[in-house]
Amino acid sequence: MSSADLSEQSASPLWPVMDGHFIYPRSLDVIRSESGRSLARRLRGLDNGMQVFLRGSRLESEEPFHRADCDLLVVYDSRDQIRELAAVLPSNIIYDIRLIPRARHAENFDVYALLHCRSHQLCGPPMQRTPIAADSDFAWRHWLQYCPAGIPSTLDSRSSHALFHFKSLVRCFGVLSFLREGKFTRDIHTCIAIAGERDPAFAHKLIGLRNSLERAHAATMDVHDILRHLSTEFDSSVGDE
Amino acid sequence: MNTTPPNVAEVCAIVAAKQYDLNFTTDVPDELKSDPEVIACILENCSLDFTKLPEQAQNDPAILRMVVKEAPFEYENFPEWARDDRDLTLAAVTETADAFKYASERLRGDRDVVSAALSARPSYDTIAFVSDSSLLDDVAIILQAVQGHNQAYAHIPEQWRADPAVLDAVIAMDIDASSFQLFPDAYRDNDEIALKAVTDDGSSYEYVSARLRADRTFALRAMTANGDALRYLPEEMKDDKEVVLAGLKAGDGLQVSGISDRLKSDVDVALTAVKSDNRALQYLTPERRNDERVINACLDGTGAAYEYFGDRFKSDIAIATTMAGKWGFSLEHAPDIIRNTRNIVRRAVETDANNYKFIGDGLKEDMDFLRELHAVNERILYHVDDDIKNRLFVTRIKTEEHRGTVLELALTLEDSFVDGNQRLALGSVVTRAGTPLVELSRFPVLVYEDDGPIGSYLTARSTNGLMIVGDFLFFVRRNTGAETWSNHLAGEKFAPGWGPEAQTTTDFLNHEVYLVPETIAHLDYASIPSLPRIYFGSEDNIPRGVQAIATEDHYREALTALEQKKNHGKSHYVRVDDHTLRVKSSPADEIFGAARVFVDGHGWRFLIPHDGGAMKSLERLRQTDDNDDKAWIRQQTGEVTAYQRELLRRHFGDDVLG
Repeated sequence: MSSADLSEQSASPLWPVMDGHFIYPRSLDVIRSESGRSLARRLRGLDNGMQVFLRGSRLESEEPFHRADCDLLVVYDSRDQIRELAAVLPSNIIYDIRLIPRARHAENFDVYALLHCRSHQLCGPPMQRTPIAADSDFAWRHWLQYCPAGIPSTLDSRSSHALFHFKSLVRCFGVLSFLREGKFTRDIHTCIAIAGERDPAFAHKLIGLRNSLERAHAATMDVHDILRHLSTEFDSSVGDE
Repeated sequence: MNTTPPNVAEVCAIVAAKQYDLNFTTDVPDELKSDPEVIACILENCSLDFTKLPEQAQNDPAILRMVVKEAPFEYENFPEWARDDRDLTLAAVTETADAFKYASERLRGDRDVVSAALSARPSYDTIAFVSDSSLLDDVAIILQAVQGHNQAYAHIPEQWRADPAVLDAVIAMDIDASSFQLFPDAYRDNDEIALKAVTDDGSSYEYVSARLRADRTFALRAMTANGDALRYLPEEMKDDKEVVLAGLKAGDGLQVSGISDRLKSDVDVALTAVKSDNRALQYLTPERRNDERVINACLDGTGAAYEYFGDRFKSDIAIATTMAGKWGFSLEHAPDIIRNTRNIVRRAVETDANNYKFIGDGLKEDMDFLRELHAVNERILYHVDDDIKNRLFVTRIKTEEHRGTVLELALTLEDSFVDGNQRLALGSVVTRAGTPLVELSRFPVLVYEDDGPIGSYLTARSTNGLMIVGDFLFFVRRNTGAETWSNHLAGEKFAPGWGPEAQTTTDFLNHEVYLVPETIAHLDYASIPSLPRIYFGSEDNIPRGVQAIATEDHYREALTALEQKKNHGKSHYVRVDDHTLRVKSSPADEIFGAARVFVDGHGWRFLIPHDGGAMKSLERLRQTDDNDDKAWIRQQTGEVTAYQRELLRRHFGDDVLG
């Protein structure tokens, strides 16, 4: 890993593509945040067969947002493994952990892609990473995952699902970026910037909603224009099967 | 589980992470509740409830100094000795004068403390809490008070109210009516002082001297300076057109409510008022509310004025069209002709979905038009009654005919996305030759959980629905198997108050398959558990059959198929029209009407049709074995597809049919 790769405070939010496949970027071999490295040291000795992967801002950013969760993916075989993990994880961190039974680890495409292309393994038998085809099927499956058709046209920051809808809405722009320019990202900040390239008003609206969510301010946002744009641009970017 | 109590650094990390979500009682260990570093961290990242600190901390001078600097409003909760501490009190009142009233009596008579309180953004009544009368005899203190707040004059000792220096100081600021009211008569009779008072606060007009109240010249000057004073004019001047017009031009058109009835009928007055605020129309006479000039002047203002238009103008299509697009417009006050005019109704609904409630009866029966309204403002669904909702916004997902039967699922996709963590379907029906066999009323196609570390993720727990396999019908609850940390088996909820309950067994990850006997024509969701459950487990032992929506992915696909003009990928659906999807056929694990199912205690078997019905079939299955199934299959005649041959090979391990 060259110093040039580490010169940026954050890893590139764009998923690298080689020979038509998304690949795991070598830059994610290094955990950029101290809290992530501390966690890695703590889990290094966990040797019960389960595989634990770090992803998200504690992996990719030198200074993750101070309220950021710790995002982990855990591939397990038995529930005893989960109990052992619970015993060693530091308790002063908020976790967002996806527990994935080994037999079902390929069922959720979104998670599968994160596992193979965007997460750093902390412990367990080394996973053989599978490059994922960077094709329209990838885009379509993510489009279904984010499902803009199911996002209400008015988002209310007070709704318990507002954050979920917000992230889904924003990430649709990452899919469109992939369809148009071959650049895929899930990073919220980057996706908002992409939205702003489509229409500055979109970015303005999304930033306003993000701020309301972060500060727990009450706000409603009419996003039907964004949803309409997403639907139209997607239609113009893909063809019928 | 890690039992080492967190240290200061770890607690501070928790504080920084949780910020205003911090629970001081549970998140901060008792032994660290008095720690200055922890308290400092709390003050920096969120808010401190001083009353929750241990007594030791509440009496720690260093902590009190820290708190008074960062959270001076907590001074009122300080112990008595602290509120008699000069340094602490000075620090508090310097930050907020409200603290002064909580200081000890001794310090409320301390000149330096009093002066500090009056200097730093004092409250209007700070002076009233000074405890030493000698200070209240000090003109310097009094001047500080009145210069600190323009309402303090009313709270200074009465003997100072006629002091010229004090009055000069009050006049130099914005004069508040509560102060002017108490001015000496000579000041309230002084043209220039009274004019300034009215200019600064229109309600001061009420307190000018009798002479000035009767002075028309003064009235004109006052109205020109501040139209808010209009309501305080003496009655005779409320009938003086020049004076009234001066006030309306300088102030708020709604002030017209207080003028004479004669002037409310005056065209010039009416025009001036409504140009300022068209809602002033409500106070004008009927003659003016039917005056075209006045109505035209209202058209640039809010839609709320429409309510007060004369009837012939309310019925004017062009006028109603203009107003319908403005905030505040309500169809509630419109005549029938307007409430039944499509483009006006459309504009009104687009501006405010509440207008749907008042659209004309004729339009309420026009389903195409209601769809148009929904397209311009989805929020009309909050007001649409269930009957129309069911007729209008139903999406039907139909399977292709399978062994003579069709399964149809009806959903209202446009209404509340998720209701109580359930995505409800209006119902599902299985028909044969168009005749309903079984109807399942209102049930959740998807059941969700608020998941993730703060309960903000929407994770599907199960997909539910009817399934046809062979000649049998099943109700399937397919578990997604999704699990995040909040469902771990550690025995505690990850974050109190958020997310689903922690589980003590893995049952929450199980699938369920129920057999629906043909004897049941109407089924409701609550009675599903009373059906025979043939499978309950986490392995994917769900039969393969015909369903409308099998998984959450299918549901999202269905939504997307309806929304997107184009589709992509191996779609399970064909978009027939805006509200209909057809499920593409796919092989079912069946042969000759027998359904391949997993039955608890019996494994994978074939449920074989029986003249006595589905329950007899199940009874037979439990009394026989795989060889009996094989024998039955061999006895049947009829066409067998390649898929079915392969199915038999997979199930029995050999070529059953030879």
